[in-house]
Amino acid sequence: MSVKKRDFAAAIIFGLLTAYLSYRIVEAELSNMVSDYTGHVYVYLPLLLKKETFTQGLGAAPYFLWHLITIAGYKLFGIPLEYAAGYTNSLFGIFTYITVYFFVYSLYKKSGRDVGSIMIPLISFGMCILQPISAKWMNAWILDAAPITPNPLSNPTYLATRGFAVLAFCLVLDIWGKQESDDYKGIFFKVENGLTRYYIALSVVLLLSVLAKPTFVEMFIPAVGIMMLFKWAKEGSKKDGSGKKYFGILLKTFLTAVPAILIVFAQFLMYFIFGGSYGDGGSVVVTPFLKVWRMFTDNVGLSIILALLFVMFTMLIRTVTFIDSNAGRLALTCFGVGFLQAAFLGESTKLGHGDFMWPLMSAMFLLFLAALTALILHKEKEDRPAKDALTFTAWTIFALHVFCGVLLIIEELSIKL
Amino acid sequence: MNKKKILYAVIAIFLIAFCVIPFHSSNCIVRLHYSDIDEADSFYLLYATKEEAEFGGDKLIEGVVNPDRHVIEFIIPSELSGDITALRLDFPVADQAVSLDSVFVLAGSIVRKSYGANVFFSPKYYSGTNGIDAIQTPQTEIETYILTSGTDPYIVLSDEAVKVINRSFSSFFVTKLLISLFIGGCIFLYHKEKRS
Repeated sequence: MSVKKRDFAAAIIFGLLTAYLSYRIVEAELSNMVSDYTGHVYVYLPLLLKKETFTQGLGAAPYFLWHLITIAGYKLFGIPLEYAAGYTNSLFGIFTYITVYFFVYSLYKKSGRDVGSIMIPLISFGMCILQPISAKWMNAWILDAAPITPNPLSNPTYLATRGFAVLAFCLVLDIWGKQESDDYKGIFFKVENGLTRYYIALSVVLLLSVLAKPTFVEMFIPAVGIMMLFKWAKEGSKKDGSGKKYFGILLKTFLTAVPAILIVFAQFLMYFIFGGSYGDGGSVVVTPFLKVWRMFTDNVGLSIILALLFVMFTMLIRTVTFIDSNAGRLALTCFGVGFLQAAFLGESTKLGHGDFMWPLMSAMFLLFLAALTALILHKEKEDRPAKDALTFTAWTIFALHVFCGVLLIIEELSIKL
Repeated sequence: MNKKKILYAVIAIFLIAFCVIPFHSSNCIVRLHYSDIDEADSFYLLYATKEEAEFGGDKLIEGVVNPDRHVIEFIIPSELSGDITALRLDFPVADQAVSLDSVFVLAGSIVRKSYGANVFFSPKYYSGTNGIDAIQTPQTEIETYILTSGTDPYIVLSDEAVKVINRSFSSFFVTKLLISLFIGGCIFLYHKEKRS
């Protein structure tokens, strides 16, 4: 087998594995009557399927991309709902895998590494399943409380947003690169030929993400906005007209987010009007600091350390590369915004659902992407064994996160070893 | 001293203060793992404090039973940290054999102590009983059978057990230290790398 064919085979095998595990997780979760999958498959989907209850279903789940695809499988191909839900999860699993593959492939290409490396499918697969580091004695989670993780495998609609999150991250980074310098050649896209099509692409990706679950853009758009406003203030202080020029750029970028923002507002209205999530007189409330988070863990600090150990270690060994890069700064800002939402917001009638933890989880996913960027794009000035050892340690920690993901899936699927 | 050094000093003071100043301590969780219980409702952990030395009143914590995981969990609130003088484990009023596997004491998401039930329900860790017919551990087994009868079956935990639980409340010092070291490390390494 030629080298090219072998690499291609590895990419396909890991893709199929991701799809298969995504499917099996639905099967396993549906046997649990209080799981998110059960709610979506046995409550929301039947509501959406009947004319007389359609609006009620829309109110309960105004983010319906996952449901729409499942219904399409059910209506068009006659696949029973449970199985159609499994295939939809599979589809989104493989979509995430492909986008992360594209992300890592582009970084490898940019850094001049071997793009046929087996590491690319391995990292991509790992990103789809990795979990916080955990051990029986270091049980960071309250019994039966869902962990705060970049990959909450128990929630179908969150999983559906991951692929769009990767694409939005790539698009924003390349758009910013081109906005900052006309000579910039994109890492992920050919932005040197103009940005118009990428603004449109970003707008579409954000919109689809909102239709999958609004939580990613609830964090991402404010974070991008904060960074751009900060840059505008910095440009404005130069007093050479660059502030005015940058304002135009800011406005253009903001316009790409408008459709997504409008849909988010419409979804919130639907919640109120059709009596979805807030039907029992509930609403979004500001909670005491970390009140909701503490329902999930006794030790918030430790839960962050365990969820982001790879990111934190990479930040320490690639400090400048991470902090001075747009990827690192954007991911950190996203984490800041997500942290504030998780720390102060909740839904009054169901605080225990932790519905404002989702944006934080998306931010954690982006932090992993930023750490990968810093690790892969960083070039040492000279060969030093100590630096190599640190890089090796970082990859080992990444592998540990993936291993914990494998263990969780084994537990989830009740596989006896 | 230049501005940068002053900034470093301020950050260092802030991080040290973050580590040293106690915000609040964690709850302490006592987790009993059981293998068989007929009547799993109404397990209680009663406590006495320095101010109120007697058991009774509202000084009790109800056990949360998780039948799927075979766990009974008592969450002792952080306000009681260091204040508990005595503990009493009350069993459901029923004639039954409660079969326990292990006992875990957790705080701040870390298992502080773990015991086989045969160890935790040995005379070292309890000082008295009522309505308990027998505490039996078959030889070569960890599992312990507690035979209850009467109207008020309970086991009074010993001073040793109380000491273990009182010491287990976490002030999150290690977590705060790790976060401070990370933030301090990032700032230090960033400027060091920038200079070189």
